[in-house]
Amino acid sequence: MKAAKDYVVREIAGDVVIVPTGKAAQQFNGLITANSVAGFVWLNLEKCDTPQEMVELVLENYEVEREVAQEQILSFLQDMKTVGMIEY
Amino acid sequence: MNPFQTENLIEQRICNLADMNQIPISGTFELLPLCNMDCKMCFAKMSKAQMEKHRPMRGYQEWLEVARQARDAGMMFLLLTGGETFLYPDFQKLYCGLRKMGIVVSINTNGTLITEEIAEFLAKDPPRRVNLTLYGSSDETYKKLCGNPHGFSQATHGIKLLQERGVPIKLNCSVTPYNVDDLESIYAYAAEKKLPIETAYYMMPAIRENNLGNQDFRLDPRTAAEVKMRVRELQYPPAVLKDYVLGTLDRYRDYVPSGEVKKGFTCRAGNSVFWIDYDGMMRACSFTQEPSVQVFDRPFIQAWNEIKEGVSCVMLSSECLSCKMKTICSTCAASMCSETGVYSGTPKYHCELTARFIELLMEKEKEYGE
Repeated sequence: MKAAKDYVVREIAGDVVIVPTGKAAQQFNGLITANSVAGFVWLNLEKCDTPQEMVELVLENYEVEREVAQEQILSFLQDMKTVGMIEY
Repeated sequence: MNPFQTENLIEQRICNLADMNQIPISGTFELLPLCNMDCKMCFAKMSKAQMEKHRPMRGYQEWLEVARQARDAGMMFLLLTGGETFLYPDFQKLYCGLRKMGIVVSINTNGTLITEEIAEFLAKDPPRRVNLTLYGSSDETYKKLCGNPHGFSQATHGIKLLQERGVPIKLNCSVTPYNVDDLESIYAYAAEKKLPIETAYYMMPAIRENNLGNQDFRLDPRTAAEVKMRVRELQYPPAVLKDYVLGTLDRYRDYVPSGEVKKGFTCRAGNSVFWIDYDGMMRACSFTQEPSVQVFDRPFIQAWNEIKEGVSCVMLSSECLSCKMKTICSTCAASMCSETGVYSGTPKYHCELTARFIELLMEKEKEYGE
């Protein structure tokens, strides 16, 4: 998995910030911040080939019930894919 | 120094995080000292011959390497300025490289060189903002102040091209004795075009060797105070103006100076903000000469650490830091040093300006019957 080419992921003092560029900036010329888990997902996209691998990675790093992680991470990734922010 | 007068909440949070951690979140690259105009108060302009003698401008790949290192050190926001930014030969290559790094770019320009090609280019990957300085509201004023008899027509054409393509613009206005009479019509123009506008009523004296600078072409302090008030009258609806006047006076009257004097600047410069001249000297801001470090002959992070260290040792005017007018006065490290020659000096221009501004606030207060 990876961020779509028009989105650059940055980390500033522990905060994850997503910078739209090119066509994405034509649609939204601003910055997107992510909470802790969403930031973790964005920073680790390229370590995972599939959404399920990301679920496992989140479970290894956060104290969260498997059912909750399964539902929310898969939903989050699908939403990001639908709006064209990530690719897999 | 606040590089984002209209920063939003996310930008504010990022800048505050950077402040707390001394991360160089925001920088300025002064790409070149060349300009197609000849403004009387300009502190940066050089002729091509002067520039070549002093130091030729740096190539875009050199700037991209500095930007890459600055990005790795945390830089998120970058202002490109000059001279006239659109005279920089490889502007488009530089801009594209910066955006690919995920840097949020703003551009300073006088707007007179913006063509359809430039507007189209910017619209494809819009900058955070184009800061376009309006020097007057007519070609006559541009002729008097900037030596360009077509300047207003050219700048407003540039604005039209950018607005048609949705490129965000903020107007800047530097008020001098040559254009002070245009202030109302400049604000009327901004309102008509629905553009935000920011006015500089104060100009620092010259600090660079290459020009005579602003001092002979700036407003006297009493007039500057009157312009400061007039700008607020133009910007704020009556109810907001009243709140501003009464609130500002309340803060002034309630303020009891603590007498505490700490080393370092009182703004973000040298703490999370830096400036690099076209010749590669990094400074805390455009109007401070020292500390300064050549950034092209050492790693960016080393230059930044040297600037931070230098700024943290500066002792500002103890008179200013313990002054009753501090809540209203806009003096800063750069103005203390440029007005008096030393950081510990008290800039009397600001004392006079602020005292007059307080008189004007009190006159307004009387009008309100408070």
